[in-house]
Amino acid sequence: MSINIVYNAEVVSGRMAVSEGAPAAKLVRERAAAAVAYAVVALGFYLMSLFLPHFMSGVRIPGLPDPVARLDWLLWAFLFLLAFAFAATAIYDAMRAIDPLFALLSRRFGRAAGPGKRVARDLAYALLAALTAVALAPLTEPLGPAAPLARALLGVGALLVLVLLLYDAAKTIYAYVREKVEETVSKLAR
Amino acid sequence: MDPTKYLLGYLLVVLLAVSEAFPMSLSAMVGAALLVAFGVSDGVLSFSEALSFIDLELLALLVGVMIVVEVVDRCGTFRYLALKVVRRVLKRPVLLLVVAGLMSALTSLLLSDEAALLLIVAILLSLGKAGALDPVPFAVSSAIMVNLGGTGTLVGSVPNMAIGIRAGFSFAEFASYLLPCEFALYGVTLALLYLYYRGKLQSSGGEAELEEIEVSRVDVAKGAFLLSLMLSLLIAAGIAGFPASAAALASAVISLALAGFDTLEVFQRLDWDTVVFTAAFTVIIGALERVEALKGLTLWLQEAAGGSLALATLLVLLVSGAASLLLPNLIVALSFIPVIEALPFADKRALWSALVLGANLGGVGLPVSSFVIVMTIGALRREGYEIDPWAVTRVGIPVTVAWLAFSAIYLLTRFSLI
Repeated sequence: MSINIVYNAEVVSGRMAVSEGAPAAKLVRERAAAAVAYAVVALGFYLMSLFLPHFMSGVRIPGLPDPVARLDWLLWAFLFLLAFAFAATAIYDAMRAIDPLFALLSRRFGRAAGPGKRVARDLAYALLAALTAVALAPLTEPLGPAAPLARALLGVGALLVLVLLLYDAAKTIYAYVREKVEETVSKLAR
Repeated sequence: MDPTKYLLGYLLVVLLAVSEAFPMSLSAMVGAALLVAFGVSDGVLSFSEALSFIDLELLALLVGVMIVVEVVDRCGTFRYLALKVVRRVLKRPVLLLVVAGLMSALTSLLLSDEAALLLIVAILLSLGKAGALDPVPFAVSSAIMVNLGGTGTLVGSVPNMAIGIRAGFSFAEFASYLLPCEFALYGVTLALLYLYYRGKLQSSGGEAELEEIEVSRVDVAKGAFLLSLMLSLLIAAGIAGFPASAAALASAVISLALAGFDTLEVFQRLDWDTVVFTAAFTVIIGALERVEALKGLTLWLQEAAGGSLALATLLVLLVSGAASLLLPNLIVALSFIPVIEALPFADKRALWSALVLGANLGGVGLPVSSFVIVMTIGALRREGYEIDPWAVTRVGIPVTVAWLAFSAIYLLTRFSLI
């Protein structure tokens, strides 16, 4: 009997192309767009809460204590609550956009990884963002008076990336530990 | 100068490499770019100085050896010899374990670990598919032996080239210090593997036959000649006082001229990831040396050894061995080189040898520490064999401990440190 012993590096090392980016990209687009839309609506109601109540100042509902008796305060509270609700929805959608975004990024930047590698990658990217900001900071010097603003933007950008990556790392660790604890509990319960 | 951000840059490269976020070369290039930017803005380094940290002699040796090995591989010499030998011992499982192990180790003396493993594991899996044997113990043993192979020669692994060049060892000198240890470790390892797997070694041989490979004997002979030529030139260069890199490059030119393969195709198949990683990582180490970031490790080793060369040698062996359990061995080797250079001992041959052994031998302790182990587990699983990664650790940890313990005894006696 003859045996075919043709093997190549790709097969044995298990390196395979991943092309599952499309659904994740669509989810990110949808949720990010929803987050932006709700944020704009929230901002609109917040701005209205700053200006509209002035038109009603001085009008009071008789027999009620302050501030509930003031019509301007009631209108402000109503508009502010609406702004708050839409802002919360925007934050919720932004958070929901982050998960598929990380799934998408981790596929773009490498093969699908287990929890250990994913946390290591998050920490590496977070460190990379921080060190890049440190390395780029001296380049803002020639900008003169705009240098502090440029440095602040750089810092805020790095901080944002850092927070997002640490959120993903924390979420991955939480999910892993929770899974292990639940496994242990179900073993003990048997 | 506070070296914290430089050390964080180093840590970043390690994290990127270990998490496989980027290819090794890109990880090191990112780290090198950051450290050079820090150095330039802090006024401790210029860009041209950073470029001068790249060890061109090491790169010449690396590329030269890679070209020769690629040409020899294309000649089919390794594959032909491997099939010939396996066919002879197919029906005797214990002998097959020994032969497969030795072939793996000896092949990885010259080929990269991954290429050597592919060669042997592909044959073992084919035999498994034909029902001739259970390939698991043989494949895991081969992966462990591949990791051991290449410890004893200057061109056996990239860490060896880096260490050998900085230590100023000729090919023959390097082999005289480390090859006896490697050969002795073959025996120790095969004995341990036999003890662990003795109940599981089965080979019917039976109906299985290995196909005749389509390789001309002329090509096989040509490959063997070119390999011998490179080894002869490396030995002769040591005697004549020429650098090993010159011998490797000369062998590469002759190989390309004689073999008649498409030169560009040969170049395309070289492991440029390792070449670029090595170049970029030497820049990182150079920047760390400039800001004295590695001084802490040197001082700790110095204080812990208390002026004793024997103790310093054992510490280098153990610390580098432990580090290479978790980190790629090239990172370990390149990081320890300046530390050893800074240690105040007149004769550092034992320390360099300890680093070679530590950096090469820590690799099989954990599945995460060795790409060849991960490759083997993946290949076996794809063929439907059940294998628990921790089962490999149960073999890997005792083997690593035995390697390091034996190496410690070897170093103490070889360099008359006791």
